[in-house]
Amino acid sequence: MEKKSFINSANISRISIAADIVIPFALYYAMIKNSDVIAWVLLGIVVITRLALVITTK
Amino acid sequence: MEINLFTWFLAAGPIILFLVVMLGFKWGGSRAGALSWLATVLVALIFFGANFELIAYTYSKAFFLSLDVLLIIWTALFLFILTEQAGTITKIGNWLTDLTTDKAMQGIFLGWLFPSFLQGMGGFGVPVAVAAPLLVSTGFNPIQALVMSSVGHAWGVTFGSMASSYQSMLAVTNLPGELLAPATSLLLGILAFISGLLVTFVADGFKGLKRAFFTTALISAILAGGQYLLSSSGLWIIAVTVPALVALIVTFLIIAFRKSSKTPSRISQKDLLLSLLPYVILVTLTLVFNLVGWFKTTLGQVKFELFFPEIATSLGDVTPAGPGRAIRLLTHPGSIIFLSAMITYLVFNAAGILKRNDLSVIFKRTVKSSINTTIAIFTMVGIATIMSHTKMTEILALGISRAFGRSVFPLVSPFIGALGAFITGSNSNSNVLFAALQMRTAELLGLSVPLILAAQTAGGAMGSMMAPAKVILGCATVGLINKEGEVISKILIYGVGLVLFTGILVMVINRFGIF
Repeated sequence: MEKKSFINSANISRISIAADIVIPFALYYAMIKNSDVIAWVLLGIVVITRLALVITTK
Repeated sequence: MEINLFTWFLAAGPIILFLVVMLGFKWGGSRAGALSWLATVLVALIFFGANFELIAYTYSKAFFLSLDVLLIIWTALFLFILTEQAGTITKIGNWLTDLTTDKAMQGIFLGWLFPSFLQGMGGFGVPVAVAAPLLVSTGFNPIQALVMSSVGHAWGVTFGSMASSYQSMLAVTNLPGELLAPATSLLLGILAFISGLLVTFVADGFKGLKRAFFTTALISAILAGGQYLLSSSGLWIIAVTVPALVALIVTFLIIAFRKSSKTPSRISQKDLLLSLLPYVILVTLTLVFNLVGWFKTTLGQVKFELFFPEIATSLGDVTPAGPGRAIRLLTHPGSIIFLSAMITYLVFNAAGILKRNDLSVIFKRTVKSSINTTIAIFTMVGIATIMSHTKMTEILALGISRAFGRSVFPLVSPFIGALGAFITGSNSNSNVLFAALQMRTAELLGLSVPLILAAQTAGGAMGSMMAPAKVILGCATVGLINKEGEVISKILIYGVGLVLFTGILVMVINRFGIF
């Protein structure tokens, strides 16, 4: 039986929504507290999920 | 930043890209939104002086703006799926079909007046989300249903939602409401008539339009006259709700008097009352929450908001420090819809229409149906927020206004309002963005300020129905997920036509110097 890849449109969509709900708060507090590295990582995750959405969505 | 053709096209780039992939390549809203957000970030960073701080803060700000819309989308979908699971939505469709087989009259009732009434009270996408599935249940195809409910309620957007868009225009221009009301209600009143005609046309072609012409004219007189009288006397918060309610009653009487269908009704009076219950509860709760001061003052205090620092671009464009969008959880329209849905569930459960385990099925279906819509809203609002902070939106509007002189500006003015609403998904936001700009341009060109501001908000009202965020929401409620491109291309035809008509109307009124 063929194993279904984890990287598919449905999973990426779920991850993207989770990121869009959690990251805005974390990013806000990272920015307010001048935690630049954390802020860069968080925004990086957002950009990667957006890219993944463009690539995986049919 | 200097405004020239190059910078104007750069500012328009993300919107053009979004439209091209949605309309040309038939991409769904979530994929098109994600690509356009990435493009907006790149263009803002490279050409409009954005920096990491701006992108990070606008992303957080956009979350709250998105949540304001999403709370309505999620709960409207929940209510719709609940009524579908209970089978009541089909019953309403059957009842109306039994009452009248006239497609044009069905369109007037459910595609024009009912969404207008809902717009008067709540707006924020609720009219389309609630009316479109009802239209589908009476036999209209989903695209027809979305076009009818979108076109049908647009005239009521400015004075709808308890006149929040109108209030925002008054706030940014610092002008009295009584001064702007006559010109605004005249334009929107005429647009109410045109939108009624368009709804009958979409419902049943030219035959329907011809057959229902006098009814449409009569109903329009009630809507336009009521709106004019109420808004001119300072009662703009009910300038859509009351005329739309009167028009609904008059239309029901006309349908009952004519009774074109000879078949007896397929559903009993008890079934009909139960089927209408969710909407009765929704209307009652909305009125109570909006009109009883205690609810707003006491429950409205429970809010969630973050304070954002000043954000500046390297080009010197500054967004002052201030609070982000406040989410008033207990008085939010989404909370009212959810409360209505839960009361409905309890009644339906007691009446044996829904079982206890149906609730989890409804929740699961709601989550599944809202995934793509949620992503699309997050990305679209994100784009609008970056564009407004980097002044890309202002460059778009200024470019349009500078390209045209005194004689042509009245024609262009509604397009600026429409552009703002199209990008942001909201007539209120468009007024916040452009009302001051339109007022200043009118003063510089020696045009009537009330007329140009009326053109701004009327254009914004028409533009809001074409906004991808609203179309995506509508698509989700009639099962057209990932078909947003097809639907938006249909709505654009009517929307752009209505904005153009508004512009011509403003030119004519300006020529005769009425205001």
